[in-house]
Amino acid sequence: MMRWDCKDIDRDAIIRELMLEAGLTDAPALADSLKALESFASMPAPVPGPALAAMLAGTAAAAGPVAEVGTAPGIGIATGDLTDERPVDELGKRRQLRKHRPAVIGAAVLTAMGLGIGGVAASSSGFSKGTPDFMQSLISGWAPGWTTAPPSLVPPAPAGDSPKVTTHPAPVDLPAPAAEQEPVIAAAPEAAVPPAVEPSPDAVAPSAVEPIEAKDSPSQGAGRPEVPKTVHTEPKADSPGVFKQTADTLPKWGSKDFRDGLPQVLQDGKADLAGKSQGASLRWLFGLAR
Amino acid sequence: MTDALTDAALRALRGREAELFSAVYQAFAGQVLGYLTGKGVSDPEAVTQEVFLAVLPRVESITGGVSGLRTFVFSVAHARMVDDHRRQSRAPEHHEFEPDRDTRQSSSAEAEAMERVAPGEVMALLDVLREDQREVLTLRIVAGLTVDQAAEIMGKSQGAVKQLQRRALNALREHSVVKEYVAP
Repeated sequence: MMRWDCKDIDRDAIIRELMLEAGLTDAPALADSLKALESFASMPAPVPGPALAAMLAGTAAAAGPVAEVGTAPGIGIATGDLTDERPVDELGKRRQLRKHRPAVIGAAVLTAMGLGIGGVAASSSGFSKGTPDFMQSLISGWAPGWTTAPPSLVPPAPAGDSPKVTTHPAPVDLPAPAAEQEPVIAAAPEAAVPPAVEPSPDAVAPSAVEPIEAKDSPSQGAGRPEVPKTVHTEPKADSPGVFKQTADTLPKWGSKDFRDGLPQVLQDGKADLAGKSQGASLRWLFGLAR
Repeated sequence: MTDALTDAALRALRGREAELFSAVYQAFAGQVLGYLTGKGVSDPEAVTQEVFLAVLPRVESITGGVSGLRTFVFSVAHARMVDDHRRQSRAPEHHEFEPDRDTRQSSSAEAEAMERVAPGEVMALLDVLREDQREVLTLRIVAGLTVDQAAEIMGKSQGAVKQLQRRALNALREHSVVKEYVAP
């Protein structure tokens, strides 16, 4: 076994030199103190740690850590594992951890945020699967208030072409339905009763009317045609009243009723398209809209 | 059997890495441990290992023989000591005891050395000194450096080092005189 020591210096000489420089040659107590300090230099070499032992001798650890210091030079075999950079002490480990702490925390925060957002998005289905049924049923009967004017919502009928063709009959047809409907309901009793009663008591009245009628229609008979004529003219005389009634009925339709009824009217209009001209229904609709 | 680590021995060991490392470690580890202990490092053995982990890979490139190697070893030890003192000044570090990491199987050698050195007494002696005075004395007596080498490591001029060691000796002498006067 060979132990290496460093005997190139004489510490006693150093102590003497020190005391000589300080001018303290006759101070035995000081010399003892310095020699006690000198004994620090003869402390045994500490047992090498794992990394240092590997650097020193490689596989010499078989003899145990204490013996390794002495036997290392003789039986040591270099393994080439000298570049082991593992942190040997606790401080090194902590430093390494501290070095990567911001990155680790950042990654953890980002992962947590991603998981949270993903969980919320996954749990709330929203309308991703389509509008729910209750919403469809709510929307179905609703039409926005501003749809009164826009012609784009008026049925996709060939509205662009139809006005050219059917503008003329419209004013004629407008009172007609009202005139036709009204006599049936309200004026029918009046028309039914007077023809039976009027001709007998009021002989003058027909005669007063007759010349005009005779002028207009000389070919027609006097008795029979009069009744239909009067029946036919009474609505004309009452037509202002009829218009009033229709005019009265219009305001009764509040905007709300109108909105509610608009789809119905549109549907009716669609249904009547076969019988009536499109222009008539459209004009009527626009009239209502205004 | 011991052999002195001389310049010739260093040259002979050049190229045989494992033997060179072991020789350098045996020659200087005890002194480095003594220097670090005298300087009050919290864990002298661990710091000693760090010092040699840094020193040994560069041993081959050191010039100046044993003297140059000694200067290099203690300059590294001095730097590690300063680091440790800064660490202590910031926050005293308390390590919890981990049995798995405690590789000491027998404390008999240390106990013998401590009994022989009587470190408590010497540490009390060193406590009399200021920090730089203590540094000069440990570098010169424990590390065995010359005034030039100590001045280089401490970053001071030779005159400043001589002045420091003179004042250190005077402080020690006054202390020992007071102790002798009080003790009997």
